Amino acid sequence: MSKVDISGYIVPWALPNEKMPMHVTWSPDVFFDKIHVKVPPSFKILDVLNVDEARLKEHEAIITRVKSLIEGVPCYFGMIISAPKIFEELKMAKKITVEFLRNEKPFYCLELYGRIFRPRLEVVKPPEEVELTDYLEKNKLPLNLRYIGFGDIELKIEATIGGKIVSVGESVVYELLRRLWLSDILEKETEEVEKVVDNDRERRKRELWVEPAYISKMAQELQDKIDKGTIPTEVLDAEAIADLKEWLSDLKTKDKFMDIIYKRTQEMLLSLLLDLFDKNPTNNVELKNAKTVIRTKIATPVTKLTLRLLYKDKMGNEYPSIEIPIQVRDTRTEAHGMLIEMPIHIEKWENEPFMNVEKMRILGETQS
Amino acid sequence: MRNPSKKMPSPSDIEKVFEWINKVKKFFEPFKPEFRDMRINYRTSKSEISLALHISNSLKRRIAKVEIPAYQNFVVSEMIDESFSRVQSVWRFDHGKWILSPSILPASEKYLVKLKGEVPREILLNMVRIQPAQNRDQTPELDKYWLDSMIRDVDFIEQIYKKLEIDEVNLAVHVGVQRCFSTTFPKEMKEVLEASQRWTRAGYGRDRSEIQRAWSNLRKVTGASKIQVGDIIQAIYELTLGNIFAEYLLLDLPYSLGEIKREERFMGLFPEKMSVEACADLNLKQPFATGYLTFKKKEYMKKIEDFLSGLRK
Repeated sequence: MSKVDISGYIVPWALPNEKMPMHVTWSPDVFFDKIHVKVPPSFKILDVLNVDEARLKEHEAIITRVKSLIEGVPCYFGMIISAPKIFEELKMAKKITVEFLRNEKPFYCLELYGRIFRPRLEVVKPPEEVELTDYLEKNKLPLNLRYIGFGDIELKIEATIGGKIVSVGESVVYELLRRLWLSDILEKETEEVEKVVDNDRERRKRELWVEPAYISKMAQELQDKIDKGTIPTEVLDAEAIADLKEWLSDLKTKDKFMDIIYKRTQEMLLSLLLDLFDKNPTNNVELKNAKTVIRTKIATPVTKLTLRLLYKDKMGNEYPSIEIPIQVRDTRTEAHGMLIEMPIHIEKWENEPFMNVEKMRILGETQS
Repeated sequence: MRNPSKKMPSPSDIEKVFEWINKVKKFFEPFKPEFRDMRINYRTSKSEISLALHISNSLKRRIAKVEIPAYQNFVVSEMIDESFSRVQSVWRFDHGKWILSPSILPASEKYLVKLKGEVPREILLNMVRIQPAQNRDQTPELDKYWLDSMIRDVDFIEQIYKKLEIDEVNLAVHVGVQRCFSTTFPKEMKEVLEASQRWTRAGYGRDRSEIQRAWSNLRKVTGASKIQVGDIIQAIYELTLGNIFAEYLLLDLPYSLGEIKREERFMGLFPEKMSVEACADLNLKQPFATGYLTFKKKEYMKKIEDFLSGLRK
């Protein structure tokens, strides 16, 4: 093969399903009949750019004419590829060949590497047993997790008992609703507390300002959920929801409801700030819900629950979930049927992300 | 053989770009108009075209008035004479028309008039392909995102105008910042927040002894810490202002920094991410641009720490 001025570029990393743009450029004195691009079977050609005539297949393209050659303008074509499947390997480099042919004979072959990375979540020492006691505050489900690989993930934790999801994400909106509702029915009690605090100057320091538009949005969201009846019974029971609906049907109380929302902003803000700490337990993981709690009413003794860890990357690729069967030792002596409340607590995170993947050498890659 | 890309601009797209320009050009015909330069700003969808006009003295006498309807709201932005001086106040806009009285023009016969108009967004999207990396590459010091932009079809650009420049092709990169705050804020802050939350929660319960315990816990924790909840909000607010955040960003040429915005789910509180615009100018000589946006996260976290220790003094 003779020395010719041809070069190529492909983006240095991608997640599964992420579009990988590449381009190949050459000087105007390079004459060819066709350019033959081959991508490995695990990749797919999605598009070509600045090409006039080409035959495209899923894994190869034969380009016979690029857009007109203009003096002083680089000759080039672009191509978009992707790896549509999620691989088991955490890192992978696959060769893409670009052959320039004249009279059916290749005279230059360019090699580029499509490099795909993915994350993996693991459970370190999965919990085998958990005790359910009469003392609500003692019930806790600890987890030790490990993150390895590449790509920030969003993790959602679910618990099921007998196939039914019994965990709730602590949504700020629901949390606010619960507090608002309780604050109204326990108005007298709260008034007493307010008196203690109002005398204290420190309280003034802790008062915060929140964007009114945000509060309106939040109030609207709450109202919509109440109107549509989409409040989970884990947040408020059916009776409380019915009461709340009736209470809000009066226009005067609707105004009062708004007033309460405005008054409670400081508290809401605290929840949100704590979310900031709790939602990012480690550098590459964001929890969908800052806290996940198993909250359900179970009449019969429970013997087994299943934890499911579901995670996805920034492309929205969902990775195989992790299921942890856990034996439940139900030592409750009080009447069964009471509410079980058990927070799922991540005690330890091991974080081992890939660093500097741009420069990382991957097995099988011969690129300089 | 087939045209492989579904998104290639069509001849009708070219007509759309030229629609108002061709109409305007007809009104200038007595002055032998010639296209000189065309720029399209990808970010704002604005186009600017320069037309060279020859307005002889006899024409100045003969043509009393040129009236051009403002097709697609185009604007006459500038007029320059042959000494490169700007000719002031010769154009006026009246009842949807741009009006010029050639008789009031200065002695020059050669002029350059600049016209500004809009290019439909869908055509711009068909002209250029842009993509930033979905996920960062990281080192302990930096987060990096690759940037890729490319002209889809140089023929199309050539047909519009050989000297076409597409300015400020902009890519929005989402730079995550929440973890910078959550990992930098000292443990005592979390304690202040937790104590505050415990107390407010207790306030809505029936357990009077828990109210007392929570209150004394809050006093103890806030007494030990000089940082208040408001300080945390203040830190987040100030350190996510665009001009401050920009100091921690690097862009490879030919990219330059555009607008920086907060992306927030809870409006008015704190952003989850910062939306950073990287802009590149593309033209026929530089039909593609690759490079990196680098976020100096270690330095940024140091800034957060310094800010907080300033509050503690």
